Amino acid sequence: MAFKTPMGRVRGHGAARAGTQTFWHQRLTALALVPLTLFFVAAMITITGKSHAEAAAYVGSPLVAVLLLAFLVIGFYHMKLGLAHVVEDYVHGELTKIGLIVLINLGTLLLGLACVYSVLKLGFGPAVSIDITTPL
Amino acid sequence: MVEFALPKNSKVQKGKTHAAPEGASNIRKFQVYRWSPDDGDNPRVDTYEVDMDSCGPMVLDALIKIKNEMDPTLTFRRSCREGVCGSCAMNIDGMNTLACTKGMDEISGDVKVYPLPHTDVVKDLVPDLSTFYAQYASIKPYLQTVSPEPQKEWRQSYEDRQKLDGLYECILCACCSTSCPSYWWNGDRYLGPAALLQAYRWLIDSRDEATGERLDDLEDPFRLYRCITIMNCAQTCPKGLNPARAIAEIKKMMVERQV
Repeated sequence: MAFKTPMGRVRGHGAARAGTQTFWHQRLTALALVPLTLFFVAAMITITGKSHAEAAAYVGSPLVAVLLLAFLVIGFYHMKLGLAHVVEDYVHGELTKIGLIVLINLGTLLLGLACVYSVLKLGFGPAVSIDITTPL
Repeated sequence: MVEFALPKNSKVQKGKTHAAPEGASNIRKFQVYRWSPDDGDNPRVDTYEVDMDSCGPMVLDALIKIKNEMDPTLTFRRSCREGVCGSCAMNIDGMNTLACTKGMDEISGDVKVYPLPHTDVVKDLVPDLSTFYAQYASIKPYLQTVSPEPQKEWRQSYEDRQKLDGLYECILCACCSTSCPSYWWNGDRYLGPAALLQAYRWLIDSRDEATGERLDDLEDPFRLYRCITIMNCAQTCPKGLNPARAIAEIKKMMVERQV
């Protein structure tokens, strides 16, 4: 605590001159996710009960693949913004807070990449298995 | 982490009951939060049985009657008794409001009176608002200009003056800020609805020339963007103002100057 005046504490390190972009992106991604989520649900219903080949063909069709990728990228970005906001709100230990925010950034990036990879893999056909032990 | 439970020495205990005077027939019970920094005791809730036949209609009337006739140690702030000074802001019947404008007929059952939530208590119903006032001062609540001062007054059109309606009426009672969960958890860095409403009052004043600097000083993930439109501020404001709308307008101004 020490003998810092209330004004000294309030002024603190000054304004970070940031936050508007986060705010704006949060709104834009939220808006974009309304139709994209509806599309995602519809797409999942469409491929339910289909064979792997049929599902792969559907997911791999250009329009579906692009919309799915858009849903994933925007969705995970939105998730990152939201989770970080929750941590900033409720976690007050400086180290824990920074640790959790790093974890959220890396975690959503990895999860997002994994999902994007699976759509691309389905779309571009089955992976060719290469035996790396035998010389070409 | 955020503390959801009160620390041991803040747990509220059952207090004394002050009985109504003999012969009183129209009795209303008041449950009032009590804490003194001097005795080392935990906070407690005292019960006062007030004779309503000799009491005014507002909660403040009853508190003054209690202090005058039943328990002179009860401590609270009050001044104007007509809703313009903001001194008697407290939590009555679960809602932050002014004791002087809250009629007892609006409350059913016992009247519960607590200090403003999530504030440090100085004594009984008196909260420590020094950070709140510093936050207000930090938004520079006065006209800032660079143009040479005119011979007479700074002129303003009727329409521009109307933009200040719904903002200038704020009496800084702190009901809104202390009702805001974002302010509870981050009141040291988030300016809170009251200071932000005042900031907006100067941002849209047509005579002010420091709009850019004002926006610069507010552009911060904590100072401004902790607001997530919970709207408790607008719900509780005893003057019927809408700080949440003012904050949304500030955010719009922030986006406008970037997009």
